[in-house]
Amino acid sequence: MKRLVSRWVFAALVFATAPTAHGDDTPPQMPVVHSRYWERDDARFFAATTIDAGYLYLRPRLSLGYGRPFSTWTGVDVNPIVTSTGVGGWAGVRVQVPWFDVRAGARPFYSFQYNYLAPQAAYETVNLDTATGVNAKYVTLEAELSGGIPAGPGTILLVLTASAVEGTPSGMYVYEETLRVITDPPEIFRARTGYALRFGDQGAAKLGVVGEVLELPRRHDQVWRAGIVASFAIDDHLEALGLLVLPVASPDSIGIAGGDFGELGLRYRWATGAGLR
Amino acid sequence: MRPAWAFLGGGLAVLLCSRDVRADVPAPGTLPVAGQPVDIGLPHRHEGRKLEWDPSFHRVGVPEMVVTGAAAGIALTTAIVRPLKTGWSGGILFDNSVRDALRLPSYQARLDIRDASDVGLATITMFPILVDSALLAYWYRGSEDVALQTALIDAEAISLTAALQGAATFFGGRARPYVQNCGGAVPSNSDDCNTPSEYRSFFSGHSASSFTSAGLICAHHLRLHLFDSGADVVTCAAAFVTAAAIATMRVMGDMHYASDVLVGAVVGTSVGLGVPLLHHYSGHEEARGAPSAVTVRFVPIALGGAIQGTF
Repeated sequence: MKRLVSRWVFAALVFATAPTAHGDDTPPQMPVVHSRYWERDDARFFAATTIDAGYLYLRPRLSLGYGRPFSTWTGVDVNPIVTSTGVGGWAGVRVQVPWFDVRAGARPFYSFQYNYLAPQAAYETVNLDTATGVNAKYVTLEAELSGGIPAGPGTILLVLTASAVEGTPSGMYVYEETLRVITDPPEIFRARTGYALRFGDQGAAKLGVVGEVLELPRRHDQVWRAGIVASFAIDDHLEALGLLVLPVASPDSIGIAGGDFGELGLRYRWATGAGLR
Repeated sequence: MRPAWAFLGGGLAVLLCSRDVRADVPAPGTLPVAGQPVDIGLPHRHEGRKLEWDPSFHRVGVPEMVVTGAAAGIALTTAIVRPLKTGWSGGILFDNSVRDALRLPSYQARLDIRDASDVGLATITMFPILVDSALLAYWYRGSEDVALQTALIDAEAISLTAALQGAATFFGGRARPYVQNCGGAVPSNSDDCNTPSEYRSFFSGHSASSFTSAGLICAHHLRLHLFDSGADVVTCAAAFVTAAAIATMRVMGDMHYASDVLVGAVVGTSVGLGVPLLHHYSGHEEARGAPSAVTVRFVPIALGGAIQGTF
């Protein structure tokens, strides 16, 4: 229990938890990464959570399903989205098998900061940050296939996303805050690929490069981005993550709002029945 | 063909052309170069000397938890409420000359440098928890206890700084430098000119938080010797250089006057060094297992604090 509590503190920065006490003869717990930890459990009905915590973000996700959590399972994902610029959520179905992960669902979002945008060929940050009337409110319907395919000393990374931004006023553009792109709704298509090297003990560390293109059919334009991804498995449940993907070619010049600085923090994963055998 | 599909096709082609898609992971600490494993000197799990919390050090307990929670509450409240209308605007002392010298020429450039300062702030703020606590203390030095204590100390100091900064901006109500350009170079209907953030100039939260993190990094590395090598001193110095760069970017982006970032730096440094060194690590000169030849002291000076050490 003590170990579980301390990890929760790490993952969620929950301050109301008592600090670890010492003074017994129990050998200190060591961080351990077991190879294929999440693949060796029995298939079962389970509840699982993934908590991403970093600077000014806390993203808890609840998964309910059948199978081996975080490995081979099918079920539903639900998570709130709270950022400094708006609130929303995600609910959808998900199927995960070794190497591939498929999800589909809906993401409603209400923006505190950004308004609907009058159509322009190109936008600058000041256009995005200028109040033009009504705060943006929309629902993004989304399906995504992602993959991590072992190849040589690393992993090939693939993401293919098809999105439809619904609920916006006719003739207005909108800044989709998860995909971080200004679009003429509804369609957005994204393809990301890259390669991450695995190294260190049991391949616990991964460092790679990714490139992606977002197709904006109604704007007749694309956004190209490139960046780096990194992760480090600290133990079976805890992982450090870093992701910085910046725009390299885009009709818009909206600074970091046009890139993906989505991760710099810790990820904690837990599931009912895990690690009991 | 749409670029998105062509791009994905390229990725799949790489996959299909791969000779050995299920090759084993390289041996620990090696990378394959021309088919041969090359040792790149990566550390191994628990390779570092076991780190232990010195019994004379002050643990984070209920009082610190209460202070942390209360400070976080103050910070959150002051971030939501509108600052008082004090009428304080314009520069003092050297503010205007520094602004003229450092402020970037175009509004777009100023917005871009603000983005860069945001990325810098996120990075330096996460460093003490992500690198020092999780990776070094927990993974490399094998101490869950020290990792937890350092993470809680980080949370305490960061919350305190946020509360002090929030209170100062609420009571100070100082107009940001760019406000004098609202309706001119800065569009009057931009967020810059239409949110309570206009009056949160004094003192700089980016500067205060960055220097708090730099102070925490120095305190942990110099008292606990997390790297157990000269890299501890280098890390400490690099943290303060990074914090200074972030603070400078806030002036370049016209978000703050020089006096705002200087006061932020003093407050941040004082909290970042003071909380760990004067409260938690004040028991012994050195953590157990630390090299005896190294000593470090936090010394208050006129404009904040300084670290003195012998190596």
